[in-house]
Amino acid sequence: MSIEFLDIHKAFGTNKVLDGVTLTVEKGQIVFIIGKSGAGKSVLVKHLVGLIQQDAGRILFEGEDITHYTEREFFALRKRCAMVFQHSTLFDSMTLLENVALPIRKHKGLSHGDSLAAARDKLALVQMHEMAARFPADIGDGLRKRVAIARALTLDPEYVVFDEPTTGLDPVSAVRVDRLIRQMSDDTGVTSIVVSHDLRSIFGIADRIVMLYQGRIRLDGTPADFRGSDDPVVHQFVNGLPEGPMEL
Amino acid sequence: MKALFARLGAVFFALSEQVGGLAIFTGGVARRLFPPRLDRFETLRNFYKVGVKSLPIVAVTAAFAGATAVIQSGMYVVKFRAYEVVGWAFGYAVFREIGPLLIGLMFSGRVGANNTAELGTMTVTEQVDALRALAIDPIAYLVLPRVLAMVVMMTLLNAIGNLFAFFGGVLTAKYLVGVDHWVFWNSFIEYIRLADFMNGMVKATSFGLAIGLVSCYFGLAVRGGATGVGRAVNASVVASAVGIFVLDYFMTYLLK
Repeated sequence: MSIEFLDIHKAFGTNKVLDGVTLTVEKGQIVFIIGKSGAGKSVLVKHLVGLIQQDAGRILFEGEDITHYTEREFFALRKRCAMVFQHSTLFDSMTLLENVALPIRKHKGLSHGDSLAAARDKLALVQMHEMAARFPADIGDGLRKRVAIARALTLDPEYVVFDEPTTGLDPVSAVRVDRLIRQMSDDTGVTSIVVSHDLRSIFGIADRIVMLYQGRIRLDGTPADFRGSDDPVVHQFVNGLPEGPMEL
Repeated sequence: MKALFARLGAVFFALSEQVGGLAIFTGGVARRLFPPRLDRFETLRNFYKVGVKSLPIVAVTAAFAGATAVIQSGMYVVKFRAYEVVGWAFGYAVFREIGPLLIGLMFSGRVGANNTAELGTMTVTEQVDALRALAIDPIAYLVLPRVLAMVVMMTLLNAIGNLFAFFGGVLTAKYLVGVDHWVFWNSFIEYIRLADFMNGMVKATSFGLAIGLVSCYFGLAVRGGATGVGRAVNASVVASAVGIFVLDYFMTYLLK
């Protein structure tokens, strides 16, 4: 079973972001989608959960064509395919516990008390249960990211999309988030699609890496393939070189 | 001249886009009412935030509106010694017109602007997209409880406001105009009909609906970060005020 992006095109006005991306994500993998800022990484993965509609191309989710799904049809898919946003996007007006309890209460038919208890268990998975009563504004980015991951896992999804999970985090917090993604994949077999340009994360936990450049896939392979690539664009990105053929 | 037409055309298209967007949005909200899919916690939270927290400002506004109506009519009441109409003049003006209008504008400024800012901030910080990603319908979860709270609470606040306006009117009549409170009461009870009260209540309900829909629509339609939120709040307050006056005009005509 897999997710297939077939010849996806997307433009915002005159800015062509995706220009025929074809990609298959196999179940159980941790796939990193990399590329410079503005390469269309986030745009591509948002198509999968219906937050952006493609101009052309098709998306197959476990063989089912979801290209023309309505918002209501996407609701069922989103319970199986969760998304963790770049900026955590916890709800300001709720405590951390209430943030995690919300999807449980809405979708699992539990009482208020039971949903809070279940949410506390999910927070414990990311070592955040002791801060359950705090509000998102009271904690740092790294901790917020962990709570966002706990919230995304509440419905036991089979797929999780992470949009730049370590961007803006200090190195220690970033490693913790990486470990969490790896552990989640190893323990539950969740398929992770990670949008990132954090080289340490990419080469730390990726099973497979897909690089987007100028709206197309530049290279699709293992971390070893990327390290050994003689493509000058890939070489420049992987080595973080300021000079090279990569367009700004 | 060409530039003027181009500018007028652009304004027309922008206005059409907003009106069309609001109509589609209203249809979407109405569709979620059958069957109603209200979140109990979000609904209660909004009833408290919209209603209880607005009570002090509404009470003050209404009391002064009542007092002002008596001062205005008091000049002629004293001049023509028509003390027996002071209660009627107050009730007719405040219950039918001044009360719902002023409370509606105050409600729009306090609750509507706050609502647009909150939803707008949630939109630009992707919290609304996060809801969608959690398979939670933002219209059913965020909008429906807010609109319902504004409709119910605007109606209730208008009724409570009428009470405060009455006390404001009675005190002003006694101490500034020199009309005894029994004279005021008798005049009020003699001439004011339930229809006068209900007229204002129907207006208040419709104002609450307009403020709810407009403030939610502009909040969810925000684009462009903090600047966009500021613009949306501004547009929401202006559109709500225009909506209140237009509704008031038509309802005054229809309910006359």
